[in-house]
Parts: sequence; structure tokens; C-alpha cells
Amino acid sequence: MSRLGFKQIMTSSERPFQMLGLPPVSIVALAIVFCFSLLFLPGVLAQTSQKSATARQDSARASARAFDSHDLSGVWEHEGIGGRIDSGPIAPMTPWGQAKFDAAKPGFGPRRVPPTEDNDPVLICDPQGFPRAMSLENPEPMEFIQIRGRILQFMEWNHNWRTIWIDGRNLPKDLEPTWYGYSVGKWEGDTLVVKTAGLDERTWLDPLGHPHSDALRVEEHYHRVNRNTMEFTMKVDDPKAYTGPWMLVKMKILKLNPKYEIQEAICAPSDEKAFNKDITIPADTPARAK
Amino acid sequence: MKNRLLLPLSLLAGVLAVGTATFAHHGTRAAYIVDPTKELSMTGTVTKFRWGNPHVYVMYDVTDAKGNVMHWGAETRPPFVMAKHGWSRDTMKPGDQITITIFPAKAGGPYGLMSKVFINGKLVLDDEQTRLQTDNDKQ
Repeated sequence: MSRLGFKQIMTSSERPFQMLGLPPVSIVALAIVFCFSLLFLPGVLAQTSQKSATARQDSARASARAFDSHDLSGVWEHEGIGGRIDSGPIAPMTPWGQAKFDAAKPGFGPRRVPPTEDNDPVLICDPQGFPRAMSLENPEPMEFIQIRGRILQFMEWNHNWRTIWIDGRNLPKDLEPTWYGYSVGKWEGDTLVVKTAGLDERTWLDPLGHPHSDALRVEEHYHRVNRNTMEFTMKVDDPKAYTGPWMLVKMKILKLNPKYEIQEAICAPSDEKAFNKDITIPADTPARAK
Repeated sequence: MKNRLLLPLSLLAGVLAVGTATFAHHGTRAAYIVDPTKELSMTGTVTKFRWGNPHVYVMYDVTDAKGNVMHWGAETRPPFVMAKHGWSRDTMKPGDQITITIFPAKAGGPYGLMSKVFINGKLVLDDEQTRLQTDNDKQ
């Protein structure tokens, strides 16, 4: 009876709930929940809003912080336009260094000569070698891959790569000279200090024709100051060619470009030969009178 | 993709400080008179287009009013740079009509460094960065 009476009393307001297929007792429960939720809703909404704002801020901070200062992995390109070197004052050359410098006929700078007289070794596709490949005369980006114990640097120009050992080893003694030498790196705070020796003296330090000997020692500093920015310097010390050390790269800023894919750009001798035959040599040869 | 307008090369111009030495890999720029007042424009027919390092180049024939044919050659940037700006090995082919603006060779021969290029009437290169004179260009 009571159930029926209840039912009778509630009939008019019950219909919508019946249409939902809910038993009458649930109506009371829903009403209570609804009233309570009205009481607490503003606070709940405010908290939710605060939480999402905080989450957004946290996410922004995390993104700004989301890098390991001891991990240099990524594609790095020049800030602004590349293809420039910023050397410090060049130390006076020794007689040996001066003689090599005088013999170098570069295609750039105050001593530049026409292309047919240019004897820059890269014009016959000799390797740029180290440190020239890292002197940042190349405008192309580089990709650094850091794995356990080593960093691999891939240079887009000429598809070159070099290894920097960061497993604690020291530079070996009596290294046989090679185009890219032997490199070891150690962290000093957040700066990776890389020392290189064992370098082939056939390469130039830069496109201006500055020479070096196989006694050359190079020290690079890499400092990732934030996720997207790295400071880079490079010091050369070659007592056979110069009277003191000097900065081949005073300070360069490199920027991370996570979207870039390194391209293939190879100096192929057959391409070089065709280009020289069709363009370089005739363009640089005085036109014959007709 | 081919024959696309090279606006990005133009955009780079604002970044490059005039008078600052920049390096390409090969110093062939030294062979040309890079002076905006000395540019040459001409129309001809492509005979060869080479897509290779160190620089992409085109050979083309220009016929004067008397019917004399002069064989010309002009170079631009490396292929991987041009590829980033929409060029490919199919951008030009023998027989295409080329209207080209170049910086002429200092030696006086029919060679040049590309500044602006139309292929069959369509603009494919507008290289403002190349047109900027550096201190080196004035030597």
C-alpha cells in the first residue's frame, strides 16, 4: 500500500525518471546528490580550473627544462646564417707555418685567387678533416648522437662523421695522423671539453689557408645552455706552426632543430671534374678574341 | 614541386649582413663580377642541365639578331641546397626556354653566376642573397 500510495503521490513528477527506467528510490538519491553538487560545484570548478592552469604552467616549465645538459643529441644548426668563421686574433706564425701559409692559395679572404689558381685541398674533394669540418665555415647543420661512452657527430656537408670518446679514456700517445684525428671528451660541470690530437697536416684550418702541423692540439667546449641553445668554442695550439694558441672559433651559438633531417651532400670527384671542365676552368679563362 | 618559386632564398637576404665574409665550399664566386650594376639578362635554349656537386649548372645557347649562336654556362648553389628550395634534377631539360640574369665572368667569357631564372616563362630562382655584395666581391 505504502508503495502504491508513494507511487500515486509521486506520479506526476516521476514520469521523466520512469522514462529513464530508474526505480523511484533512485530519484531521492539523485536529488540529494544534485543538491550537494550545487553546494560544492563552484569550488569544484575553481579547483579544476586552478589545476589545469597549474598543469599548463608545469608543462611549460617542463618543456623549458626538458633537456639533459650532459646530452648533446640532436640536429644543430647555426644561429642566423651559417658559413662564417669567427676566429680570435691569430697568433703569429713560425717560419715553418708562414712558409705553408704562403704556399696556400685560397679562394676566399684578402689573399684570394681566381678559381683556377686556388689550391684549397677541398677543391679536389680531399676531406675537410678536423678541425676544419667543425670550424663552422660550412653553413650546413650537424647531427650529434650520444650513446654510451661516445658522441658521434655527423656533418651534413660531405657526409662526414667523427667520434668523441666520453668514457673516461685519455688521448693515446704516439697517434698516427688521420684526417679527423682522435678525440676524447670530459664533462667539466655542464661543459663538455673535447681534446683532439693525431691530425693530418694536409688539411687547412680554414678557407683562408691557415696551415697546421701534425703537432696540432685542438680543444673544443660545448655548453648546452638550454634545450634549444648550445655555445661552442674551439682553440687550436700548434707550436710547430704558431707561436701560441688561438681561438679558431671564438664563440658560436648552435640552435636545435628537431624537425630537420640531415641530407646527403657529397663531394664526388667525378662531379667535381665535370663541373670544373664545363664551368670553373672556362669561366676563369680569359675569352679569346675572335 | 619542380619549378617552384624560390622565395626562401630571398628571405635569407635580410639575415645576411652585407660586408660579412661568408663561405661556400668552393670559391667560384671569385670568378664573377658580383655587382648589381653589371648583371646581364638574356634568353636562350637549354642544352644541358647538371644536377650535381659542387654546384648545379646549366648550359644554354643564345642566338643574336644576326643568327649567331653563343654557348653560355651559368652556375648556382649545390643540389642539396637547391633541393630544399624546390629544385630537382627535372627543373630544367634540354630544349627549355630560359630567361636568365647572371653576374658575368671576370675573364670575359660566356659564363655567369645565376641571379634570376625563368624557365618557359615561369620564375624558378630569385636569389637575393647571391646579389648582396660582400667586401670580398669588391676586391
